[in-house]
Amino acid sequence: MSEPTRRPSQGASLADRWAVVDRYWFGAGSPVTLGLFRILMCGLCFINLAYLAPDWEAWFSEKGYIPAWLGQLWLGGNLRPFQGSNFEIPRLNVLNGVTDPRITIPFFTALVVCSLLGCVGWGTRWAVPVLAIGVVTLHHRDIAILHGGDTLLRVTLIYLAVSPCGRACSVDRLVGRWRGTEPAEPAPISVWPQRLVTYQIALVYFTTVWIKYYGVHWKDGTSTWYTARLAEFFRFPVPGFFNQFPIVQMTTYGTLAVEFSLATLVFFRPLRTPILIAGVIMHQYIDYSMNIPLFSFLMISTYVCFYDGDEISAFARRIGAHFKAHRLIVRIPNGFKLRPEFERMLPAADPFRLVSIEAGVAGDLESGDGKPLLVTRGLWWRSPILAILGLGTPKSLVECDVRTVAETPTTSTNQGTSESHRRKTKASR
Amino acid sequence: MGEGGKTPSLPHRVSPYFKIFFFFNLVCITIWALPQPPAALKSKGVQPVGSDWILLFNDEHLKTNGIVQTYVLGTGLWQYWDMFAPDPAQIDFYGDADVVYRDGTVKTYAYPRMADLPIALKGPKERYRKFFERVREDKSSRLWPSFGQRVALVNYHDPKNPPTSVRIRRNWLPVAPPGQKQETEYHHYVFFEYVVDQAMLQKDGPRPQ
Repeated sequence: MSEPTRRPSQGASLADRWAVVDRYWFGAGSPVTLGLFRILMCGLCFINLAYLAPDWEAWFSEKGYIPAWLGQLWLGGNLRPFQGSNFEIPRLNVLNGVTDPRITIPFFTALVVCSLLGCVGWGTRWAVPVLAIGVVTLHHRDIAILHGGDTLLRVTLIYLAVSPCGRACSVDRLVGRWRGTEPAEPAPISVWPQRLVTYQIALVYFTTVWIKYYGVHWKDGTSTWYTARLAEFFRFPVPGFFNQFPIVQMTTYGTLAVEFSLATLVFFRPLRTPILIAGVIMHQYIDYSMNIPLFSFLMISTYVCFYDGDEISAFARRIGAHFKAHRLIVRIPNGFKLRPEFERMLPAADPFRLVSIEAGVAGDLESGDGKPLLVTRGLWWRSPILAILGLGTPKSLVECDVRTVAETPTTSTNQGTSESHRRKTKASR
Repeated sequence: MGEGGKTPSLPHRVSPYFKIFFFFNLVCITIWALPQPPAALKSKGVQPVGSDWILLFNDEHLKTNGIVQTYVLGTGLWQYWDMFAPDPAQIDFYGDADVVYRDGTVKTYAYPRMADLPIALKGPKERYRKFFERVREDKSSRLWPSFGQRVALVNYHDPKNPPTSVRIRRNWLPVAPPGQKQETEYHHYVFFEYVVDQAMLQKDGPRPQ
């Protein structure tokens, strides 16, 4: 849990007041939220890049709609931090002046790889910063095709790049556990990156409501009348009455109310979850009915930052508890032991607590046809991380021959395992 | 995930220098994200009231600050959040172009139009809509020649009969306000005619049909 932020009492000194502010922005907290946020944003970045790839030539080559020189012209020149001085700083763009596709295409490919690495958290320390610099470069190369989702992605990737986002929910952590260099519980981090994202999201919603204040149709309750009639945005059909009065007024004012709440009341803990749920419903409706690719998913992904890491861990365990009938108990017979690396790694790779180890068990070690039982079959959905790494194979589990490890379907808490064992036996016959 | 438990305090305190930078960052992104004041306010045609003063001050004194600009624009932290604001678009539009070939034939090039695309392609191709949203405006006229050249290249299949000119057209349909009759016919206007750069076209090569 992040350090509690107490309100200063009346008459508190300035130092006390600063201490409260300091604890809120820079206090210690679990890195789980940031890890999950990294997975979501890098995953969405991968999809974003995959969307761009087929049209690479159109958007990022000299044969495209915007050659490099025009992109630079459109973006603007170098920046002058000090007025009256000739000192200039260029915008971050590592492809500045590069037009050769033998460089730009591998660069783009490297970004795709980095987004995947960032998603699984492998080499996070360099993969996410490289991805962030690359995305900024692409955006500075061709600014004319960017939409709000791109901007949010770019900004949050920059935040992730300068944060310790690989401390949890990452292959890096699993490798650390495997090697014994990582502590059992992920080391706490300062929560400033998480707070920064929540501030950023509040800023998004607050400023958009502020701009709408200057409009006409948000005030007269007809805005969604117009958006629903733009053929270029049509996606999936909605019932006709949704685009008629009084529903139009409800969706117009409802949007304003939800956006304003997401900028303000969401920081009041008792209202946090209902407001975020309202935000999810609003964005999912937009995503269903309108073609604004990835924007809704990007916005919703940022909502995890409103929760402490321990809240997310507890939530994952509660989900696991719902599936307790499907728990997998890996039984290890007498005389054999689990590899210590795996023993260290398993808790970090099993967010839902669906896999447990029971040592010192006696019993039948082989199925009817003499083939070894694959004790980890079914592990893939209980702990997808292990499956992705290919570490769920029996040989990786124990320090002995594979046939000496067995899955014994006996206990009442092992119903799912029993069923899978019956299926396996039937299949082998 | 799955790594809960009591969290001990931070192994290292956050540097005070970093904290100063952190709040500098918050201030900069806030300055940049605040809305532009409406044109009437900027031109002093309307007397500012309430929060208008904040936006005017921000626009005239803070956003123009060289350090803020350099930090936000240089690092990629620039942002503006004006989706469907201050009002949603009230016209539906799309683009297309007439491509004139050397032999005099004219072919209409259907620039990707979201309304005509299957669901699976609407997401990946949305950038074409976004790009045309910007290109169609008169203030974006410097993008038009490259647009024309690209359209010519996409439609260049026969070296003996290359495109010679491209007429780029915007098509739009105003959305009728509630209670008024909705038009059904799109308006059309050729906003740019581009004479194709043949040397560049030859260099980039013909496209297979």
